[in-house]
Amino acid sequence: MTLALSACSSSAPPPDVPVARQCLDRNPGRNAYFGDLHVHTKYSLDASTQATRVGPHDAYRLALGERIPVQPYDADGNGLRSTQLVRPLDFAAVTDHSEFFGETEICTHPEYPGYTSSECQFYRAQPDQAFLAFNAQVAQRGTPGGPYGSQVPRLPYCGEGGADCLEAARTPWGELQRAAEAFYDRSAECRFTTFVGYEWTGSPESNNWHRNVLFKSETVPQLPISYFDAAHPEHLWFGLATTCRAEDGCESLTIPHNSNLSNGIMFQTTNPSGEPFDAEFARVKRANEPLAEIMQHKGQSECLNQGASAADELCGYEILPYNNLAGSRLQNSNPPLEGDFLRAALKQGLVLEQSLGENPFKYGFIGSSDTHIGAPGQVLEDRFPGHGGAGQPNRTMPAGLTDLIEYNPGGLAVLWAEQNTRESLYDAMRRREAYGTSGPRMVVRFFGGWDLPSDMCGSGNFVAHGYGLGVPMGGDLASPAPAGRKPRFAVSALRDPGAEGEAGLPLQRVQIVKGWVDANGDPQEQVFEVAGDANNGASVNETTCETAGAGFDALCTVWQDPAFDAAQPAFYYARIVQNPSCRWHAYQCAAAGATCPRPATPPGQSDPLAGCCASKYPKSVQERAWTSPIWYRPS
Amino acid sequence: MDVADLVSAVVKAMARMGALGLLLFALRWVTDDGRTLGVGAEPIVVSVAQVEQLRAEWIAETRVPPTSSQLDAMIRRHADEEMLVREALRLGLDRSDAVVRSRLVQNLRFARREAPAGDAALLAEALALGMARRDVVARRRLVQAMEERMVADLVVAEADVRAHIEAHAPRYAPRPRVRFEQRFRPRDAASASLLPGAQVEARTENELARIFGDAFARAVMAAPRGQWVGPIESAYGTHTVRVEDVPVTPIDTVAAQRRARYAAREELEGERVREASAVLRAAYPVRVQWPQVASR
Repeated sequence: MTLALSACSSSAPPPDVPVARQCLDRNPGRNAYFGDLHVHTKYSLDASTQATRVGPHDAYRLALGERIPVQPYDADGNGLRSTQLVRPLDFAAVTDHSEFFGETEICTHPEYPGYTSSECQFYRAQPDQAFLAFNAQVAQRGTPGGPYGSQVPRLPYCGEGGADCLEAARTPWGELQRAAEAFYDRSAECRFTTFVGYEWTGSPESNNWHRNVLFKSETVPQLPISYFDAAHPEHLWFGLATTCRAEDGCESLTIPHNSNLSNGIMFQTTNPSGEPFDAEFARVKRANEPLAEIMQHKGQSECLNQGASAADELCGYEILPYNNLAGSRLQNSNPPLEGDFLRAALKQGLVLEQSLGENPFKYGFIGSSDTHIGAPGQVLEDRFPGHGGAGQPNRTMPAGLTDLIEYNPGGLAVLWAEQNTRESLYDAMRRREAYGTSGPRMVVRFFGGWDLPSDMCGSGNFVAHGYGLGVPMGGDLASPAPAGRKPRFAVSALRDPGAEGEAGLPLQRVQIVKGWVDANGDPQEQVFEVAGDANNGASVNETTCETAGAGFDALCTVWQDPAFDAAQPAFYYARIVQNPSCRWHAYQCAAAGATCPRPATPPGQSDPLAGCCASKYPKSVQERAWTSPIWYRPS
Repeated sequence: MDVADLVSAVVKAMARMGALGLLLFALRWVTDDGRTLGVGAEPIVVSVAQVEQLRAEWIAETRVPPTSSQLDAMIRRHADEEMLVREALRLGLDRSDAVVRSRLVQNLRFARREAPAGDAALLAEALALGMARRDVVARRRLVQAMEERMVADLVVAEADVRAHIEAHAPRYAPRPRVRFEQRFRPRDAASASLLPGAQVEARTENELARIFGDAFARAVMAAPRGQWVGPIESAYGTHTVRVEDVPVTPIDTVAAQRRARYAAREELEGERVREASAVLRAAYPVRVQWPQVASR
């Protein structure tokens, strides 16, 4: 593997960056950091809105809270419009589609510095197998000493006098790396973290198989493996294992999204040859994918309000009315499939673990936006500009609403980490100490253990007890279960503290969702109300969007599973629900003065505000957070 | 196209960009295929329909009609994109660019499912159909490829890096931090044990806002130091605080320069694309067909 931004061989490496950097807000009990790990900019050529000329630099500036200009630009290059987040993010990753990077250019054009690399030589000799057999380049050693220790600099600088050797090929993949470098704060301020990443956009027959690939450091493969290079996730992982190796300072993970649009393939249980998973296959899958997007612009993927989850009315939230990517454009009216949702996959994972010995569907949860207009973190329901994703061109959209009625502004990824650095945040992703929100910034802790004190909430030592006596979200309960004991789960939630222009709402309640395999080997699920009040009478006026009714600033409880059976594998995750508020289209319908029923439209025209009266898109929703699960496996 | 216009545009840009670099750059455009740039080039026509479409796109995004300067800017950008696409085609990038090639082949493969053909045959057919010019992904890639060429030889000097840091000091300078003691009366009993307690260590305003909300954070940063101040409201209740400043850490120059090197590059690239586009514009006259209605 060659490093994409290659060295000037004659220059000394710069002072190294700290290996174990201490941030000024470092907290061994961990802080919650809010971010967006799914962002498209102008380098995703399929971004269908004309507004997408926002590049990765602009996207990161926006995430940092700056006001950024958007097109059109005047003759001096100043934007005639601008956009800004109310609250900055702590981290973000621009993840443009690698299928449009054209990285193989550097292997086919002699003028590019990477042309003579061993990687490219192999590519030219055996293009079909290039990604499966690259040898990693030994990373250069940094000089010891200096103010920052001996970290190997990923992007050496050529210093005085010379050519700037930080260029490599002028390609999008290079640009993404340079932008990530321009905004990753490596000082002790630790103000903002970027990740280098991209989207692997596998969509066989319009069934969504997409995954985002995230890299832990700036050491990344020269040629990002796209769907053109690897047509199965398994080949993607094999390629990553070959081109991104720990011994060279490279690590990666993949995060699938929109299982709700996968029409059965995201959680299928066969390998590329059509054979059922074996244990090794399941292990590789789980090792590469610790997290999945449970919420984003194109719907929620937690659960479907049918079948096993029919009694869970909160599963009716942000469900798309079709089951794959052809739905919005080609009017695929095939309904969503229960098996495409994460709760069903988690249960299936428990079943498979019993036969394989490995759980291939052991996903933690995050949210993100999937913005296609380079606007990370723009997930407010109010003033939603539309995210222009999934091939929906703005020019044919009704003038009344800024996005398709079935889409939503997306959510956020939240990571519990000691500090805001790549190493710390990435490790949180690896251990699944993560949760997703549908947009707001409630702060949620979730611990599970056999010995959690029942008075943990008022003790003032909630966090210490949680880590000391149990495991956090994403973890595994100690096994075997102590004889006769039932596990306890402690969950705390603080309402989103809000900001000017982005009021936080009170919490309504906390639930714990349990999935398990019963004595007959059948998957089961149940939702437990554990804190708060589902009937607190809170409401929202769907015309003025004013909220009403009391709620909670904080909720905390320790809950014990009453029906725990030590012989049955299980998972538990917490769902935290806010008081009702307006969905994004309610704001816009109210502003447009839309009345229901809609007046008749002339033949050949469509009503731009038809969505305002569509009963299956309620104007009132309850935003929420989902913690990563805690698993129990009988030994 | 008027050669005098071209020369004058080049000279103007030279004055800004540095004589030799731009002369070489401009010459490349002129002599790339042995003929003078754009002589006899067909003007770029922005039709009535296209103007209306740009207006409609604006309304779809913003829900208000564009002002005349906004519409002018959109038209110019539309024309610039067409200009870059034409240049890209003139330079044969539709044939040589891997993304464009694979996109065009993919398009035709979709349309020709029943009659499988080799990639080369499909590509030739797509090019003959003028598909590179009309397919939105191919067009964007051609524009991107042109911009890549425009900045290919750009060099960022150390002086540029330092100047960038100075010009954007808020991005690089350490932020003020405070510590404070507090007495907190929560509205909700559960909040008290979940929020930071009586002593809060060095935090920036942003970090405080993440925990307590931004109104509280602003009030704390603005509070007189060294005395009990309150009541200050947060999302969770009422606080009384005694705030002290934390000494500002000096800027981490190495970390800042590492970031600024790339941020400066991006700025300089943007300038270079604008200037190179200005040169090209002299070669591609634009005719706008305004709609008859007084909608300008």
